[in-house]
Amino acid sequence: MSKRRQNVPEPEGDLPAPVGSDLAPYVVFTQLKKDGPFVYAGWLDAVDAAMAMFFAREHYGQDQKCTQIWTIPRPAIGGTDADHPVSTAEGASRTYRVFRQRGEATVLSSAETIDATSAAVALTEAVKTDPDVEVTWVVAEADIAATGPDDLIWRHTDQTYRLARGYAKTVREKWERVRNQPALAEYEKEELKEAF
Amino acid sequence: MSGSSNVGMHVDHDLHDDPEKLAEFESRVADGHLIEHDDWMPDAYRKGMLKMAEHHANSEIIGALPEGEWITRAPSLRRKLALTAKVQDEVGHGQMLYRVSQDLGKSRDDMLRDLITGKTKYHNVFNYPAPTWGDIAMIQWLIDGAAIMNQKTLADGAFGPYVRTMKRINMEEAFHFKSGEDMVLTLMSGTPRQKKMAQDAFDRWWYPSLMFFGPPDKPDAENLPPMKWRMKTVKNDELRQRFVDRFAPAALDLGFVINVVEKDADGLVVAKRPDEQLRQDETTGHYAFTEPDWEEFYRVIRGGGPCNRQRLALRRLSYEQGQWVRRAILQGQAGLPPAA
Repeated sequence: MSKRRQNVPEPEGDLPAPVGSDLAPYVVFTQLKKDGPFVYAGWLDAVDAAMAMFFAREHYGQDQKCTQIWTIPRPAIGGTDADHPVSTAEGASRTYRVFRQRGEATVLSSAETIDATSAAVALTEAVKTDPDVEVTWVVAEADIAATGPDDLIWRHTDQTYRLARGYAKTVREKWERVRNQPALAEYEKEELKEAF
Repeated sequence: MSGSSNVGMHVDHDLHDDPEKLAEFESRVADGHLIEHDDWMPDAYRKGMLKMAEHHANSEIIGALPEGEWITRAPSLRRKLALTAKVQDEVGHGQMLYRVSQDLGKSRDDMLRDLITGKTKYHNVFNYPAPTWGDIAMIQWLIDGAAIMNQKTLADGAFGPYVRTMKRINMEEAFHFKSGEDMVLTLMSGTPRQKKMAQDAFDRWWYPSLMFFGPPDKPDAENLPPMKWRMKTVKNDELRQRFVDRFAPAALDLGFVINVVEKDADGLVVAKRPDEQLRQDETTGHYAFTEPDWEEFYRVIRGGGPCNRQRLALRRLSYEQGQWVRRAILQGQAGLPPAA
């Protein structure tokens, strides 16, 4: 443990004044296989697109092996869900990327593109094409920042230490040495099966 | 890591709420619909959900502190990598939960400042010390195990943004728990010295684990707003019983003795005796156990725990030392970093 942590000074005086506002939210999609869809990975806060991509590579890029990453400023998303109001502002025709979530238990993933004069028009078109889904998003392609096709994102080292399945086999073997099968089955009932 | 059952959640109906809107809201909740942040909701619900999500976020970033202390002292490279990844995950969970809270109307900076100044709380369990590597194993096995049990039920709640965040967090908690389980199994199949270290740590963490689920429920808990509005879906006592039913037999099979303990002001055990109440009821299958010391629970909440001062002082130091970074990225003015 560092000496600093062992000897944390007694707080004195007031906290420093707040600095500005919060960072801006960015949504992150990762492509798990070359030529496959981009699937929703999560979101993060950043001051600009460059910082968002840097954090995305470091965080979501190391969660799961992936070939490419997209980051999208949250306000650029127009969706059928309450979190993402869609802009009706009309302008020149732009290309919008469609994302769909098929059911509550699935995640959003990228689909076709649509050319439209506003996000609202693109969303209407996307919903008409495939109405039977949980959530639909549209994002102007120009608002999507992407890693290069040949960027190295996933580190070529063993990262099973940060996954539950990296421990599952050895843990089970160790348990089997001390517990009988019914007791072990009862104990494992509470586990999140989908995580393995 | 942490669920938020033990947030002191007193949520009352506001008499000024529109009765028609309130009825529609309650009907949607009862029918299993998810409430989104821009839907109409009773003011007490918004405040209650903010309090719960903020408490949970605070717990994630404070919870990273005791484990972070052990990164440099982990016993192998693989354990060091795993612990580093876990601490990174916990802080990431804090970020996700602060985002949920921000959508309910409070800025992140206000939340961090309220945490440091003691206006808001974090989970009690992080006010206990982790003096050995055995404590890190117990935190990951018992506390993360309790967190998964709790957060699985919170993921059945009604507030959409919180529910979705819980589901993602639970996936990562599975790694934390599995890693902890592996460490406990390794220690308990090791040398007598390793087993003693694990037993001593178990003694320190068993009762904080039972307290993790919050104080005993009020008799009418199911009819009070937190459960009626599905901010939480299972009572504290029921979760505590599920935890004991799962972990007590596993601990006994591993060779642990489940002790009732007395601790000193530093949170270290000064006296212990086997829990004489601990036995399985053959009819119900449930394990009886000695209740935690609830006076200690409330004393720690009020700031009288072994590590309350230390945790907040370190959090404050980080905030103060990060000021120049915030200034640099938000205002483009780096200034000079403070002397370390």
